[in-house]
Amino acid sequence: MKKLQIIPLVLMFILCAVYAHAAQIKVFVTDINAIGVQNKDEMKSTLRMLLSSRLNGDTIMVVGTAAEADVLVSGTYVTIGKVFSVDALVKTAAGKALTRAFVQGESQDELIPSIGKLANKLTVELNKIYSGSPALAGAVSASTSPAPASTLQTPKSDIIRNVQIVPAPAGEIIKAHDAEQAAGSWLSQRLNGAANLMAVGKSLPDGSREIFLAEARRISYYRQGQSMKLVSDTELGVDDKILSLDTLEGTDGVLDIYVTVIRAEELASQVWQVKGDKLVLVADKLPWFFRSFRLAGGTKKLYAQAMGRTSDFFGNVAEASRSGSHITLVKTIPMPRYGNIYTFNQFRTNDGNMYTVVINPDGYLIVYDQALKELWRSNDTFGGSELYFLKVDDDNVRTTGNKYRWEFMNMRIQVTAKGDILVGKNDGFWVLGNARSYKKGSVLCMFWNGSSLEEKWHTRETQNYLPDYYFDDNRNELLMLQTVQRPGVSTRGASSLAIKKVE
Amino acid sequence: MSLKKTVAIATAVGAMAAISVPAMAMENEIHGMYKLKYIVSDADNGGASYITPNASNEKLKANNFFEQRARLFYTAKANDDLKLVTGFEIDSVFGDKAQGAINPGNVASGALTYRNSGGALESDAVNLETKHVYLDFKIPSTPTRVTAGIQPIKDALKGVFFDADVAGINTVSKVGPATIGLGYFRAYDQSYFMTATTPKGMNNLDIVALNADVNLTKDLKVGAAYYLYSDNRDNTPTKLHTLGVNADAKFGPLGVSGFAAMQQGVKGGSSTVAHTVYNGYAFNGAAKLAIGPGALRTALLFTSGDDGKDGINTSWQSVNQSLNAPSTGLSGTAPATNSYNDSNMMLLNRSVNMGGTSTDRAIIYDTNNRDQGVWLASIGYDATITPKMYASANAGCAWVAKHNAVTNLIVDKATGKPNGSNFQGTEINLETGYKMYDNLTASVQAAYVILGGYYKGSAADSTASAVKDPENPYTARVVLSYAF
Repeated sequence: MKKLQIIPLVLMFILCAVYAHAAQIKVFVTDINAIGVQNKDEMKSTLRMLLSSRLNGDTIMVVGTAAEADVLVSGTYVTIGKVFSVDALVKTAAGKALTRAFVQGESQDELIPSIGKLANKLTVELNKIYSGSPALAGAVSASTSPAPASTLQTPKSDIIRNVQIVPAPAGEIIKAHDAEQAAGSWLSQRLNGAANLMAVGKSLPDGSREIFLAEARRISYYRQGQSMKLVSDTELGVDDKILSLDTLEGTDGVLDIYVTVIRAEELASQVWQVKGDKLVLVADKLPWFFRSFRLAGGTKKLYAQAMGRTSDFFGNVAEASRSGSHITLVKTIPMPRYGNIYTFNQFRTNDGNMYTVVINPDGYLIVYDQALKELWRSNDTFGGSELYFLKVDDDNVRTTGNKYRWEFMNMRIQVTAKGDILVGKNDGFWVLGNARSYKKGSVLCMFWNGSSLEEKWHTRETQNYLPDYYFDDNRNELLMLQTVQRPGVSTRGASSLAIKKVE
Repeated sequence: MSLKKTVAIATAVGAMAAISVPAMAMENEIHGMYKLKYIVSDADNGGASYITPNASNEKLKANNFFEQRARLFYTAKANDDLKLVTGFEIDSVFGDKAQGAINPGNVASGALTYRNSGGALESDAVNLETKHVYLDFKIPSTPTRVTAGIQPIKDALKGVFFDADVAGINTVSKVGPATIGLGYFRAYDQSYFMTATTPKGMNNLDIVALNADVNLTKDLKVGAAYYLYSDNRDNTPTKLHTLGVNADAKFGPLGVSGFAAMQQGVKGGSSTVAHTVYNGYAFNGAAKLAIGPGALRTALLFTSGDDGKDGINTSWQSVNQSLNAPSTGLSGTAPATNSYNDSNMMLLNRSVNMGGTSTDRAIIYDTNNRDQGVWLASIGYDATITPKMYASANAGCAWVAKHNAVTNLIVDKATGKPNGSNFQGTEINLETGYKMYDNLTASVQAAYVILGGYYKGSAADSTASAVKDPENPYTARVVLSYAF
């Protein structure tokens, strides 16, 4: 009998040990000072966000306040010329220094991977300290309260993860998820005009954010705070059609709005700026397709591609810079089959290879290796846009009976700083030839598992066509533009913007 | 076998089938168009041929009719590099014929295969035409794409030699900035028209096409093309070589394009027919400039003509349909298989971008222009009035390049001789359209040709004592066009 009484004690001990082993170190990244860089504030918050997300793992839990933390991490980011160094100091909550680590690199391209390395170093050090010091480990264990039961429940969220288990509805009435006020989501009021494109501008000191929307030939400038406030809008020429809309903050802190415009079948792109709450045209008739994005999750840069005499997208995509109305191409990115400025991005694999991912005209995601050879192709289709431009098609008009050839744009592929791949997906029951009418849309987050792209999460399907989306890496927020009413003979239609927090 | 086992096997078979579906997955791609026109015209009549003003009286009653055309294109795509492309067409004129025969008492009419029919009361007609059936595939590990079967082909000379649906095998290879095309097409096999048993493939009209384009920069593309027209259907075979160069360039906002081409060839003689040497030329230049709310266009086409006085035919030759009639294959008046779209004319020349239904008539129906060639100058402006509304205006003037003593039978009845003027006429046309949906456009087209001195006094009812000019051709069309 006594022997039997020992069994529960042993089990309790094992459970305690397991719990103590499984307890996570609560870390708070306090501040990372930035020296020798412009846009200090943005860089500081970016670095803090990057390091926090990379520290977070099985053994470390990054918390939201210093009060909750066991250890505090602070750091300094210094650049001298092109060389940079990030130095981190780990202290206990009481202020006792525990360890230091640093990483350095020779170009900005190495910054994000370096933050990952720094996080690895700190993780190793912290694991050593906490596993090697029973006192500290005990302190951690003691200070760690059991996770509340509610955290085990599926949170109400618009982000659906692959591992999430959704309990079956208990009643006969099944509530539409969109009717619930999902945690971490925000929905704008109905916005006048069916926008095809969206770009995010600066974050303003009051916490609001600049949002730019583009209809076929109208650019609208909003401030997104509690609601979407229209600040200014401008209409382009009657013969213009907007094909893409992107923003890029220059080194001088001024935000350029790049608008790819087609006019009489030729590119006549424009650059706008916000000056005193007004949109001001600063460059016009630029013969380039533009897009600004984070290639492989790196720094956001401007890219350009030309239109050819017979091909819509000519040659390779190139990194570009602007000086007035002059565009300089600085670095060419070879395009794989189906790749053009609007259908590709790159990501870095765990073993350091840079792969290219493309949505082909049929909507399949294709991953190419560094030699631009196809590695993998999805079975599902992705992307899908109703936005198109027309080109005279003399070679086929006798056959098609249509003077014009339709060239459809596609949804952007975004790669996050973590290396996740975001891609939009529209579905519709009437998607035939050139007659497209999408009904539902969602955004999927995928990652490269070494051999294929695997879904990490996806958003709930919208009840509307999803013309564009944008993932704000700094805020971990997903912005989804929806067409709630298509434009008619005498109406501009309407849009709405949903913002979902990606936890 | 017990019911349980049967169900189990059926389930297993079903599961296997379900699993195997992705492996057999095929993309289905469907495109198409529908065009309905109401036409009021003294020249358009639902047919396809030259407009011959001199064959008509001074005063004409206008035709008014509805015609429609639907085309459906279905592509079965096994993967990016392998697909079967098919295209079908249904043409009808409201009230034309239906239910088996135009007139049951008319055997000749009843013998028709009901192509272009079905628009009469109670419709039912076998009127589906197959336009294209071809396989489109890429040869693995090569940059070469092959299209094999009945397919649309247009020459690299803006169609002035050849623009048609034809059976053949075509290849397109992309090598860096260059695109190289090589194709063989069999337009006719005469064994199908001979009463005597004849080996197939011996007496053909064959066309070989070789062309290459190079994109030198984003703003400059140059190309060269060679075509062999080899007609062996009778005992006076024709060999015609067409060689041309083309370019397409952009200088700032100005886009320009053009070509220059020459022809050399011979049509063999016989004991009764002298042989003919071909020696023709063609040039074209076109420009387009974005200006105001649209684009200004201008173009010039020259094709050489022949005086018909010797055995050397210096006129530019263009391909026609010539079913069982090799002699009409180049200079004839059979349905045209060539085009010229830069002009945007509706009646003056065969600009297929302005047509699109069964009515396919023009004064200069072939670029050969009955062995007389043509100078055709045109200017036009395409305006976007609102994002949903557009308007286009065009004007063009045409002259025969050279009077031909044999083919030019147009005479001034006052003198009994052809007019000295080469001026065939001036066309002014307008088109305005409204996009009801992205894919559905309603438009109105109108064209009027002021005939030139070439037709003076040549009306059919003109006499030496009562000289009359032919009526100026005109057309007004209301068009509903759906394309997807």
